[in-house]
Amino acid sequence: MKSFGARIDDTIRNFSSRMVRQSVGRKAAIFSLSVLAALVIGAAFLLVLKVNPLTAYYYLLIRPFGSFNSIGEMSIKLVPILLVGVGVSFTFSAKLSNLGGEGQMCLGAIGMTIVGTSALGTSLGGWSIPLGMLAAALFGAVWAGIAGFVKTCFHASEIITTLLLNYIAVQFLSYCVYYPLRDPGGNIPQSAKVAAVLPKLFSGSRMNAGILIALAAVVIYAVVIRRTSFGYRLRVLGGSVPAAEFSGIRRGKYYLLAMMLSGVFSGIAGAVEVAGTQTRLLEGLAGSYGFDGVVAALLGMLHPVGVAAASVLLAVLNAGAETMQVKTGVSSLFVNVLEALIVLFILLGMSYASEDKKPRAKEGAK
Amino acid sequence: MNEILTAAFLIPLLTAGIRMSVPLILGSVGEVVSEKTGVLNIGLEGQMLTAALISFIVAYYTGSLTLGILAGGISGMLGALLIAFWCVSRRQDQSVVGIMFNIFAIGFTNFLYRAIFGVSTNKAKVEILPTIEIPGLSRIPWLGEILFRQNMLVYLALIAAFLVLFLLRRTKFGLQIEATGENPKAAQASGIRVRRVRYSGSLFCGFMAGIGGAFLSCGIVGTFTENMSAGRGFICLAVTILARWNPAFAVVAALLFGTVQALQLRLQALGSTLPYQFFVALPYVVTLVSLAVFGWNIHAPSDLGQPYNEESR
Repeated sequence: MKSFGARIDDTIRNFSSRMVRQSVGRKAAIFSLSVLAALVIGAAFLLVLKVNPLTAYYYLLIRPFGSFNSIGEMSIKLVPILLVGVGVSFTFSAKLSNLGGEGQMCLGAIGMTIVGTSALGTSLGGWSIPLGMLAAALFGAVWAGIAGFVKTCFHASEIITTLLLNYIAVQFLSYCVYYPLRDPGGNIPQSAKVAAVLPKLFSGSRMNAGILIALAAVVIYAVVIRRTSFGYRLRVLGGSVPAAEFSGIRRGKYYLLAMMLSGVFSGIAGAVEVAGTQTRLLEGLAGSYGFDGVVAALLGMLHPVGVAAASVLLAVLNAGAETMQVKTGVSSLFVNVLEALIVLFILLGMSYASEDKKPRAKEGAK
Repeated sequence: MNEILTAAFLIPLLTAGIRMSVPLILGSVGEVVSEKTGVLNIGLEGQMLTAALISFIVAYYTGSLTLGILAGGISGMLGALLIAFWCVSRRQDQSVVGIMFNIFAIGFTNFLYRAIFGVSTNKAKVEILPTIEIPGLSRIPWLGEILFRQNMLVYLALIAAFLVLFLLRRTKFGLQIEATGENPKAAQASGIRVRRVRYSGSLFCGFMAGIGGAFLSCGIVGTFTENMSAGRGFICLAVTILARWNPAFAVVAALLFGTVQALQLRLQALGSTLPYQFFVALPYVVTLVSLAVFGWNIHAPSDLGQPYNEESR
């Protein structure tokens, strides 16, 4: 029987999965090869459908850096991806798959809009933004909390429940813009403009203060997950549930808290999308940011810097995708194909890399 | 309320309910087999969606629904093969790989459909599967109309479900599947090729999901719309849990959820005062609530979701 300390050490070591144990050079090599492989396969798809891959990739990868303005466009994609990415990283640290970023963003956006379009919001002016953020955080936390609660009390798989909640939230948002929050002066289903919008950081670019909120979120994540006992407990839980329970960590409580915290971040992502980018509530506002956030968390190996770097990559792809769709007719969702392939190839690369680190006797005998 | 409790409302509702439940029956029966071997196929939704498009394309260009539906099954199988390679051979996390496959499928189908058919409002169409009236039986009042005036795939889906029940309960291979999902170490010790069983389970599930997807585009709608599987794959995962990994229960649960989907559409058409979003969300709410109430994971195969290394022992 191992000592208590040794068990916890084992747990942490398990948590630092195969990926984390690789050297930095090796990780970089696997990462670049995976991106390259995904681009090559993507190019093959494009070629079959008679689109010039070089043209498509120029718009996708190079054009987003083309001008000051386009970097601003990239930044407004970066904010929700980063916020959702950081949020779901909390749950993935505890090996809990929160796939409900989209739904939690919708609820956050609704929260912001309720405050921003109310009489109270109008009278508060600029102060309606922090109040709206608070409402968004609360709404997001409650929505994610439903999945957390069902998981804790009824052991229902959070993978399925968070996905189902996405569909429900999208309909709820649609209902809100058609009925209770509809702009009384307009003909199309959207809300009125919110009372105040986040300030632009530079003139000549749509980059807004949301980017500062997103960067703050990364710092909060880094501190909470690395330096607090709450973060430590989440990681222990992610390493091994039996070890965590052995050391007195109550699984249900931490699952629920991780879910709600993650909902706070996604909710704020929705609020920033309303108060920063769209200035009002619209259908389809959360787009594919929910899944982009999950991809960012996984690509970034749940490391704060990694998640931030991965989010930048995804933001470039997302910003480039819109130009690509306009210029070449290739659907902007083509980016999803690339994203998924990159993650899959990284997993594959890791599985081979961790094998040749400890060569087995069997292989010598072949 | 009185409008609802009439034969004129109920018979079409139940007929449509059975039709709507076919993708759920196929998907969840496939998922039962896959999960019994120990492989959680979260990519079911993606396999359905891909198959809905591939079968539509094949049916559109060859003019043959049979070829289209088969192509759908094969494309679902290819998706499952990809997932199985990552999860069974390379032992990667099954939920992560499945999630990634779903993201891939959303992008892939959207991209492929637009590249082939463009974005015109005048959508490409195929004839849907014809209704087959079973002689004699279809004349039974009420029941005949509901059960025996359906298309070929409806009958095949029900037959497939009971064949799977037989396979799992009464054959040696069924025992091997059970053993692999419960205790792969012991299974291997008794001579079962764990990897092979898991691959067959996944491929079968992919095939069933593929046929389910093909049924959506070629069996019900006759066209392909973006993201047309609309979470049915996830509902299948829920059905699998609710059915306690029993194919017969899966059919019952799938019929219930299918009927809820049909009810949702009928109530919308009835011109209710409630906003339509309420009806669209209804099937997801019902699934969520039933998962919370009945979805305890107690009967899950013990080794579900765990990677297994055949060489390490």
